Amino acid sequence: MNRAILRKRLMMLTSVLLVYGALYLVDSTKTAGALGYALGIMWDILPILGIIYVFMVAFNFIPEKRLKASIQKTQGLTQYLILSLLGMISHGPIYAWYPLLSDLRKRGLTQGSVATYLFSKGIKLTMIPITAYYFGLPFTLVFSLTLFILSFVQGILVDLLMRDKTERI
Amino acid sequence: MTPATRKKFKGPVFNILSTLPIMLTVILILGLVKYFISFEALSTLFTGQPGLDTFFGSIVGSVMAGNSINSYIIGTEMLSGGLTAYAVTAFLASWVTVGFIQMPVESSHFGIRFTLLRNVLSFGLSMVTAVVVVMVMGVIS
Repeated sequence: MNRAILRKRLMMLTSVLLVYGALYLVDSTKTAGALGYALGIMWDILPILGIIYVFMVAFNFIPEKRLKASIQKTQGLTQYLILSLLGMISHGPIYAWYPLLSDLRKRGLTQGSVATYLFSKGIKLTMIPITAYYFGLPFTLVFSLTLFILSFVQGILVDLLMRDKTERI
Repeated sequence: MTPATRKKFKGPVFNILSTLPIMLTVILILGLVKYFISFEALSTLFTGQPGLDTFFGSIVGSVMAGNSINSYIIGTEMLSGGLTAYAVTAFLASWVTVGFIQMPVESSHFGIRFTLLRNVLSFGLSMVTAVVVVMVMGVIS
């Protein structure tokens, strides 16, 4: 990544911190609460980033050609299915997984599969008991199954609409 | 350790670290949204009309992001406040599938075209989810 992009990102971060500073003068309680909430999320993300790092290193040890070949061998619905299942069992916020996904994207994963993964992250297998507690088991199952099916629709649509539009990633 | 092996360990560190500033930006914005945008203000958008409620349910879910449990608590409040099942289901679906606030991080990894397309499609599919789920639930019960 070049310095200009890094500078732009750091400027965005600084801008938000300045907004925090300004809001603190207006409402210190709410701003402190917002900062505490953000720090809590950051703390929760750290172990997830650790897991993602391990995955990325592991993928680096698989020969590039072999990894590309296995990704390209599982195209279409099979790739959507694998990514959808992985999305369902993955933990942590969606954005923590972007580095790993963009890494795999460079090695042949289709954009539709990335979209399938990101959509199916909405299905929280581990949260099913909690969802059922709030909305009942039938609703939870119908809701999860609908999201699972639509994750494929999402993948197909993204691949169709992004076709022939090679984009620098 | 050979330089090639060292690169295999160092590469991901650089990749993750370069994402951190924008990730922190998004997390800080999430904090502001949670504390400064009140659900009560947003709930005035709902009129009881299924089509519009589904649309606004998806809008509210797309803007408010965070842990799913928060969406369940708000969703339950919405239901007890008399909002339609369409609105609540669209809200729950877009909460977990649309990420307007995360868009800067997403586009830095996958490009703006992919990010816009994915989020717009997810927004549409969250409304489809609401319609399908409410219809199926109507048949089941």
